[in-house]
Amino acid sequence: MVDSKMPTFTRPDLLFFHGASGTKLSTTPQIARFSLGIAAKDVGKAAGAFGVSIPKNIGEMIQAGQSFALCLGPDEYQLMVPMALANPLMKNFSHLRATTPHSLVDISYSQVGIEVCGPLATTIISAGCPLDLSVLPVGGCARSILDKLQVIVIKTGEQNYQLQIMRSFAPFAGKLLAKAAIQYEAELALNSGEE
Amino acid sequence: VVGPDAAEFLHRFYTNPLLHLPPGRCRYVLALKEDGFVYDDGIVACVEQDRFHVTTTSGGAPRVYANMQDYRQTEWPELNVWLTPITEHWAVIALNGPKVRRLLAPLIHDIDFSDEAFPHMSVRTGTIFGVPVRLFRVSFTGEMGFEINVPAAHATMIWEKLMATGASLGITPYGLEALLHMRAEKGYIIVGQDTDGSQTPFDLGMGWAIGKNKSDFVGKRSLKRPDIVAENRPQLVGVLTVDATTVLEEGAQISHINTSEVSETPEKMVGHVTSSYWSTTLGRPIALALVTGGHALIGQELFVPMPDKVHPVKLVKPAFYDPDGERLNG
Repeated sequence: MVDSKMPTFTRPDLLFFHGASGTKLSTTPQIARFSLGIAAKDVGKAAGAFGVSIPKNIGEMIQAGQSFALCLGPDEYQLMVPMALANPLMKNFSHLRATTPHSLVDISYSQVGIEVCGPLATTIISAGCPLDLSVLPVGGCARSILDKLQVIVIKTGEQNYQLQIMRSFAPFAGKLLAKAAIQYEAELALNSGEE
Repeated sequence: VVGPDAAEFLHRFYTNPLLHLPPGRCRYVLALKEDGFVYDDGIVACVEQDRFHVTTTSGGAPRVYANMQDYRQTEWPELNVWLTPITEHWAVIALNGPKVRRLLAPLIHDIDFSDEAFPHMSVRTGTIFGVPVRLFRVSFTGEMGFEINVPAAHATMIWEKLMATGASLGITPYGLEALLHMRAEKGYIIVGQDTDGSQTPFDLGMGWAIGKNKSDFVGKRSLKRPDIVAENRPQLVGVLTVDATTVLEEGAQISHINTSEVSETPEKMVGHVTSSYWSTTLGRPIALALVTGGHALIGQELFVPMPDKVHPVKLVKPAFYDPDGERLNG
């Protein structure tokens, strides 16, 4: 259900910047997100309920199709799946309750996904994120900040990132990234013009 | 707050008894710092066994969450409980007034709205306009009220549909100022406005929020400190201007004597006005204040110096309208 009165950057699947060098900034489709709390020793059981491996080390991500499992903290994980898989996922975890203490909380709408693609992707995100993204491996994730905002950075390719931003702050993040993209695209054009 | 030890965790964290809060019930709670002073309030709702939806005072969620994580990680690591911020996931629409059930019941078929099935201070889940809803029967206005929690992306649609459907019932949006007036008429405090971080539950007339049989909770031991059990602490009272027309300034000081009479020695101020409004419902101004030994001074006349002149006031109980809460039942 897409409400055309939603603030621009919270609308899913919206391409909001397209640059000459191939930079694309877009919001991602609406997906189901869950915060999973479980002791590290029980992660294997959670993986059984999830149907996909769950990584054990902070900063690791496992992707299977359109399902993602991120390890964000010592006992904190984020699971992301297509909307249609949300109810089956919750049902599977409810079976786990009897044997394994854990917390599964639906946070689907608490975050908005912003995809940053293209040769300038790392540069653009680095305008607000202090991490050395060249060191973040493809297939890895990190919790950091974008300017003043909390962000989860997921590196899906050398030129491809998905950022998870808290919903209220999506407009700020979207505009920040767009401004950075405009600047870097312009600099690129200027520099190539000098040759 | 989720996990097999979620109830125990909350029972230790807040002043209230929460260990046996049944699924579907809500409780208004107070949070103390270790020094025994109130720094937050809110609602703990048991959505289902081992799963609690917790709210805080406005803007207080990050602070309470950080505090909860501190205790969870460093003081009670043996508890199987996990904390997840959900502020951004749920949009909340408050719907209040005597006709609330007439509007909502036909829109939410999978919830029984009778008083027996859905009493005040309860939470139910269902569907509204095709969207999942976590529905709280709670009220900060003093009217019968519901807080409609829907996933944030659907908030605008739900609001517009409620306004359209409620038009024939005379529905109207109300703003923050209106809410502040209504809650003050009922004597409901705002932490951070009627409190300044140095009030105990007793100072606020809320000793009832402390579980009598609890072996421990954050701040419990401090409630026995000599200065906490002393007489003449600043206490929350209601204040009515004798002229029944002057709206006191928030922050105005309170004195035992009429300070317009010149005095050789400085006069000690014994309190200050924390909240002050013109009550349309009552047709007169009302105010809340913290006054030294205030509980024992109810019924007495004191004085409030204001820029124009010194105003005589009377101290009353801090509940001006519907003191027995009958309007909560519609």
